[in-house]
Amino acid sequence: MENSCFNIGRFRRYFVHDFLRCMKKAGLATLLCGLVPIFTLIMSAWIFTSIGLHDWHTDLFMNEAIAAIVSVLYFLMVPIACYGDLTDRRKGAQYLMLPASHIEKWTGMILNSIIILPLVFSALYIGTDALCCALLPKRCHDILISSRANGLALFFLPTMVSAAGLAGALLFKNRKGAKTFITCAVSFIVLCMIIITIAKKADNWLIIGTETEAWYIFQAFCTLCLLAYTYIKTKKIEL
Amino acid sequence: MISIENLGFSYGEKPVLKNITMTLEEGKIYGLLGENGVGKTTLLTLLCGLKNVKTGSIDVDGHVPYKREPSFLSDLYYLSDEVPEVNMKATDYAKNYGKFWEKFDITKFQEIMGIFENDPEQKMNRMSFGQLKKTYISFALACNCKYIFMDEPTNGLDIPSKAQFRKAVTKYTGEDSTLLISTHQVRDLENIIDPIIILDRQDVLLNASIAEISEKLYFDYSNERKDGALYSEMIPGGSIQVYPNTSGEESKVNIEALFNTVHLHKELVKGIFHK
Repeated sequence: MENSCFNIGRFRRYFVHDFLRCMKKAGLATLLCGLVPIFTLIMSAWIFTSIGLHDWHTDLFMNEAIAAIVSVLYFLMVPIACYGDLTDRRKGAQYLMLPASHIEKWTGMILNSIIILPLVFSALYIGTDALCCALLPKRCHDILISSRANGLALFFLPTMVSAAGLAGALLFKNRKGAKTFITCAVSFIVLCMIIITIAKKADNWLIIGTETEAWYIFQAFCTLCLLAYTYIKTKKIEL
Repeated sequence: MISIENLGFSYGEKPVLKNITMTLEEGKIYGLLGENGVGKTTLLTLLCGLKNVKTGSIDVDGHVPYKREPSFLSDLYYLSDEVPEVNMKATDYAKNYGKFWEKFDITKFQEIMGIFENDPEQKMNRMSFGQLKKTYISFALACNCKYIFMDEPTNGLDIPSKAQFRKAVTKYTGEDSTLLISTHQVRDLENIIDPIIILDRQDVLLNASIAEISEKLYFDYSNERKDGALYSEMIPGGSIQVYPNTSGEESKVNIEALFNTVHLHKELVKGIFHK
């Protein structure tokens, strides 16, 4: 008798199906976002040469800012593009009625929207950026080589943002992208205000700069809460 | 077998289904009839686990539908009244999704598409609503599931397609399959549905086979007006009158007249069938 919770064969079949579905929905966006360093380079070349500045090079701060904005938008929106349909009566029913267990569907969801697609995007972005810098070393700053962020920061933050995107996809009925973005922005501002208040009261401003471990723990905690929400929501969803 | 006991469901404070108790047996094509808003779709979504019951219980071969266990889902196909457009050819859709239902038969899918004169190579997002519906009906029947629930399947189908639908259901439904078809267009499904369930606001007015109905009610198609008719209506070429069957004589059940009779004499008809 097949295991009703988790069956490897059934999961493999489901996962491949779900991955291909996600690629259909977010494949083009992944490709375009991953190629942003090339677009940035072309735009920079066009702007600088049009104003007569021929000895130009891209600014590291600008590259990092663009990478941060594109990444946050990508991590937040891709889960919505892939799984936003779940709350739709027609498409959601199709998803829920597929013969696979809840844990298989949820695992597939997490793997695709929080791990695989963000990894594909990150690899593409960093690869494209590195390629641009290898081809035009005088014009570019390689953000990976120049990056001040360490490996842990590059793991915890994107995972949390993707988990927030997935939670938004399941929480909101419509205008999921805008509502998720606004909710995250408001939460971020409120969080900053709380941290500043605490730091002021403690009379220790260094807390923000030095306690990075606490920041990672906080991110990990938020991610776990968001994932727990997605687990419960997908299990209890009613259409 | 599906057992529903004291089922209750409400949308917020508004009750939709109340104390529904009935049993659906295997190998039958049930017609679920009722006016708009009586809870036909809600009942179907409860049966397939898309909603959770508020009170009472549903048991489908030992499964609680809302748990949505894979072994339960692989025995069931739910065709909703609104079907999603997919950017995929119908054949590709069938191959892609059919692999999740063990007994899915692609040849059967193509044969049913043939009955509907639907092109399996056409992209589903370029199909008309009727063509799309026919594709999903073909897929539902090709899944060879034990339970197939269809919500208003003939909505959006043209006149020839309704006849094709009856043909496809009659020819391609497995002997042990149970179909539950909800509709308010009773003429579309005449001759294929048996038993008939008539749902009223928060109650089941009737759950009986055609033989039982014929045994307990008499449908008179003569022009002679008699006293004691529960329902009478002029139809082209004569009239139809419904009486309690006191003589035991058999007659052809007219589902539309039955529906109207049941709605006019709810308690009386319930009494006749609960004897």
